[in-house]
Amino acid sequence: MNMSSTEIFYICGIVALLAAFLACIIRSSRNAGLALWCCGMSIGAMYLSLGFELLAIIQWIISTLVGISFIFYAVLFGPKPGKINIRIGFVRFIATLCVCAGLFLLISYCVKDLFLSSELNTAKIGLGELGVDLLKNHIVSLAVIGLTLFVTIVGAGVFSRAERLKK
Amino acid sequence: MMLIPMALGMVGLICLLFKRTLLGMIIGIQLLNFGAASAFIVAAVKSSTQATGHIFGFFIVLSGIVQLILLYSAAIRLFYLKKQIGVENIRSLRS
Repeated sequence: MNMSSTEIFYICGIVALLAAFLACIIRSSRNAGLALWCCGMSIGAMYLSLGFELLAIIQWIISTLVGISFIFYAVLFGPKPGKINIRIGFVRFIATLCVCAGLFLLISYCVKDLFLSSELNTAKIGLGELGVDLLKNHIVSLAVIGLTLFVTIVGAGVFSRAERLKK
Repeated sequence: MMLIPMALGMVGLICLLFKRTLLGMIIGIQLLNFGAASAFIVAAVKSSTQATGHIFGFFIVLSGIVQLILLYSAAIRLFYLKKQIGVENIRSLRS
C-alpha cells in the first residue's frame, strides 16, 4: 500500500498528540518520559515526511537522549505517586483542553485558509544549501546559541554542585 | 496542517500549568518546544522559505536542550537542599 506524505504526516501527528497527551496526564515520571520519547520520535517522522531529513535525524537523536536522561532523573529524584484523586486531575485537564480547542476552532474559522489547508509541498533542499544559508545569513544566531550552550553547561555544573544545608 | 503543532503547544502549556514538580515542567517545556519547531517547519513548507524554516527549527531544538540542562541542574540543586523537587519548595529556599 502506497501512502502519500500527507497521510504519513497526519498519522505521525496523531501518534505524537496521543503520546503528548499521555505524557501530560501520567502520574509516573518514568512512563511520562517514555511517552515524551515516543512523541519526539513521531515528530521526527513528521519532519521526514515533509522532506526535512537533517532535522528529523537531529530530532530523533535529541528525543532519545532526552528520554534516557529523563528516565534516569525520574528514577533518581521522582516522587512516588501520591494519593491524589486522579479523577479530578483528569476532569480538569479535559475541561481545559476543550476550552483551548474551542478557542482554536474559533480562531481557525476566522483564518480558514491558513489553518485548514491540506496542501503539502515537501521540501527539496540539500545540506550544502542549508550550510551556506546558515553561515551567510544566520552566523550571529549560531554564535549566540553556541555561546549560550557553553555558558549553560558551565553554569549548570556550578549550580548543581553537591552541597547540603547545614543543620 | 497547522492543527497538529498548535495542539502540541496547547498540550505542553496545559502540562506546564498543572504539573507540580520540576520534572513535570520539563515535559511541558519540551512539548512547547516541539510544537513551536513543528509550527515553523509547517509554515516553511507552505511558504517558499524552506531553508529558513529548517534553520529556525534547528535553533528551537537547540534552545530546548539549553532549557533542559538548566532545569536538570535546578532539580539536582533542589534535591540536594530540600530532598524534594516540588515547585513549591523553590519558594522555601528564600529563608
